[in-house]
Amino acid sequence: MKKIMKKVLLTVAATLVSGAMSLAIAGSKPAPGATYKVLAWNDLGMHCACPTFEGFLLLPPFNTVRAQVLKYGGNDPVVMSATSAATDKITINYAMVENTDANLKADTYFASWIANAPKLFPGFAPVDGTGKVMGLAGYGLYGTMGYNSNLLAFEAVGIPAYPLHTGNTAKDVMTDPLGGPTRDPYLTANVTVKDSTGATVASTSTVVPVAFGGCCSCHLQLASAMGYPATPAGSFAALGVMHGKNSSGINIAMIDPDGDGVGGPVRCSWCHWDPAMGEAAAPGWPAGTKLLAGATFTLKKSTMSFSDVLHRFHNQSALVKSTYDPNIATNCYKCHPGNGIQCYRGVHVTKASTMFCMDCHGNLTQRTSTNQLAQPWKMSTLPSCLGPSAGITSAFACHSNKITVYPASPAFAGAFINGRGHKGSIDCQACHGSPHAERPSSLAADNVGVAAANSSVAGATYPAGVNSSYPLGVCKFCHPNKSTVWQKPYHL
Amino acid sequence: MLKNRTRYLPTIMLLTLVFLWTAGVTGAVAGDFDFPKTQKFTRSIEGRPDFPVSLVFSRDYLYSLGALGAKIDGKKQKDIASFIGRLQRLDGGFTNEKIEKESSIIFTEMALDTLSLINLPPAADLKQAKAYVMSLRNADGGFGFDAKNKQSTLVNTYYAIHSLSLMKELKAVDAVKTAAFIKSFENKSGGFDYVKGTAVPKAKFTYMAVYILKALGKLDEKTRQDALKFLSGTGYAAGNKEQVDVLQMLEEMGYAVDTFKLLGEPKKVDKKKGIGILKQLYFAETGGFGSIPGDASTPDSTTAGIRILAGIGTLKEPKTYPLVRK
Repeated sequence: MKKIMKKVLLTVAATLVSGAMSLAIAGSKPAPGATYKVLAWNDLGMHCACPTFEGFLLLPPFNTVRAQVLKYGGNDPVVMSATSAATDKITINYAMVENTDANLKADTYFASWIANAPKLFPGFAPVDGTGKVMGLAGYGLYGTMGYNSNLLAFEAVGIPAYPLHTGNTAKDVMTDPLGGPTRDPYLTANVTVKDSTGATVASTSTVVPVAFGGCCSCHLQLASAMGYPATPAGSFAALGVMHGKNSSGINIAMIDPDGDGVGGPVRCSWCHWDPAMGEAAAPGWPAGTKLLAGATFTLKKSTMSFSDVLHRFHNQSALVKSTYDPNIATNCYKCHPGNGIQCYRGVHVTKASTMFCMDCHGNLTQRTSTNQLAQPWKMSTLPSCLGPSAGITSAFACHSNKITVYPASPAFAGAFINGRGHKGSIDCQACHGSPHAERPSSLAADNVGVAAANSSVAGATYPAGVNSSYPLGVCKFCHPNKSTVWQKPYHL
Repeated sequence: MLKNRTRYLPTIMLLTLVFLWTAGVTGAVAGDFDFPKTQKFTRSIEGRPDFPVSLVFSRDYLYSLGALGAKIDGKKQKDIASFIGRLQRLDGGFTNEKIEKESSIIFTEMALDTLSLINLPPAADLKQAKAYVMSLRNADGGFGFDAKNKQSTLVNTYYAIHSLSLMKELKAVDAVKTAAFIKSFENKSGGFDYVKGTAVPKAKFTYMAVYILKALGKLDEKTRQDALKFLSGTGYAAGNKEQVDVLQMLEEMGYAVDTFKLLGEPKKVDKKKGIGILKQLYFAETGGFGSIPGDASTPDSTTAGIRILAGIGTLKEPKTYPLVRK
């Protein structure tokens, strides 16, 4: 917990510094004659969020948008940094389009987050003193991006993006497992580069995807089969009983962290450490946590990661295999979104329809047998462009391009998310898009930013079978003296 | 000229009637699904170097292509048969993948069911398979999941009885005891759930219970009528406007179709609703079906959709072959 709060505080501090820098340069004139270009993306291609937070929390609303800004003019562009941005008196800003402070606060499910987040993350205020909805890392739905010197990219970490019912049937494609109206899981963030006068000098947009997982489709049934109501509360009670039957003996529904006499809300990562929450070890329970009357267990922390226990249990459970899905090892959408949307929608599926999740990650049987999940979300256990996860044999040949990865051992996520190529200057995702949604993606919105970039070059041409929705490849976009023909750029 | 045209009018009318009748019987409307594309999607797994990948995918492939009326290459059949042979463990049971070590009843049933879709002598030791299934039998008449999970359940018992039925070994079962065990899962609504005494029975578990009782010759008329009453109250029955659960409708529709057939009342299923559900689940990019509206198609969900179409007569049930050859 301390680490999370430290991380949150550091990010908040960085944001304040960045804001102060922006203020310091306000009123100054921009660099004369400079032309800027911006490329933006979401870090994962899909984030999960739960529809309810009263019982337990798997993952909070937490989405990250990144952007690289290029100063165009000389033969090679300048990849802007915090320092050069300050010198040029520009700021890089983001704003969610569909999510607003007002509509998130009015949404029943998000209201549950607002009510329970301070209990799940003691010290965190999901709505600040001005009424602004805030994310765990100090970024709201709009604002100025900070700078990540490892990625050479600007970023807004942990935006509290959340799927909403918009009323647009073309966009509201996600089924609500609790029976509510469909929701829009492919949200949008506009990213703008502004000069000191506030004028926009470059802009783009990116999909900010967030969806409910598929958990409810089995767990509501399970609750009902166990004699509990087929509701989130019933499911929490049923899950508690099931959890109590494992070696820990802990019925999670009988834990009362806020002391209100009712079980929950429980954050799974208090006991099962989760790198996705910034943890390297289980932080333990908040001070004052109580057990409900009748509880016969004592609280203890697990050494196993949340990812490990969750995947391992589902793949080894006789009940899951016999009654819910014999192919749970391969049917990732049973848990991962799911719900009428596609997490996996990028070039690997648009160009090779039989390339499954397991070709990169391994299926659950392989993942547990190779012990990948003992260190989840790590570069050592995640696939890269060059090969599948360690110990996994893909049915497909991987790419032979070399890329520069920096830092060598990033704290979170794999080589693609942390990688830079093209002389180490450009983030892999800046050109290729988000993992799982690599360009060309089957979701048109994923390709909008890059299509605009490729197409912005007058006279851009493409080889047969390629179009502007492919990764950024029209050299002249960055290099004024180079070709207008799309091609695979130098990757090293 | 007009006279010439009217000459053909009776024929045209007859053909139209035949078409409408056919559409009425199958519940399908021309153009709902692109079956050649569905076939191509199903066949796309053939190109994988690790074909047939797993037991589940093997059955998906054979069942779907069989129902689509597609020819299955003899070498592919042999590949699958030999793959399944390698999944049989020393205890006689089967696993889903080669790297798995512990066999279970579900994959044993799936292996035998898949072998029954192949026109080749079974590439497995059936005597050992029978011994494995019987090793999971419990004193209560039910069957367990595997060597570690020995508790009897309705679902495990279904897989055991179906396995024995495929091997023509039902005589090994104490029919009275097993039927009594299964009947204990019956709900007051006439349906069955996998947990005793719960209030929400499902078509899936009702199918399993009815199958077991019928296979053992223990499906009495009252149980049959009760099961029909339960199914007729679901949204999958003709003339019932009950809403269906979008998260379960693919699986539940399939089992409702099969249960009505088992109970000898195939016309009681709402074919129009079945087609309507499948239209919602159809994934035009691949020609397959997803699990819920908007989901991309997977081999499993596509096979589940094809199973419904075969059940209501739009497609044909794939041909099966006896596992015991003379």
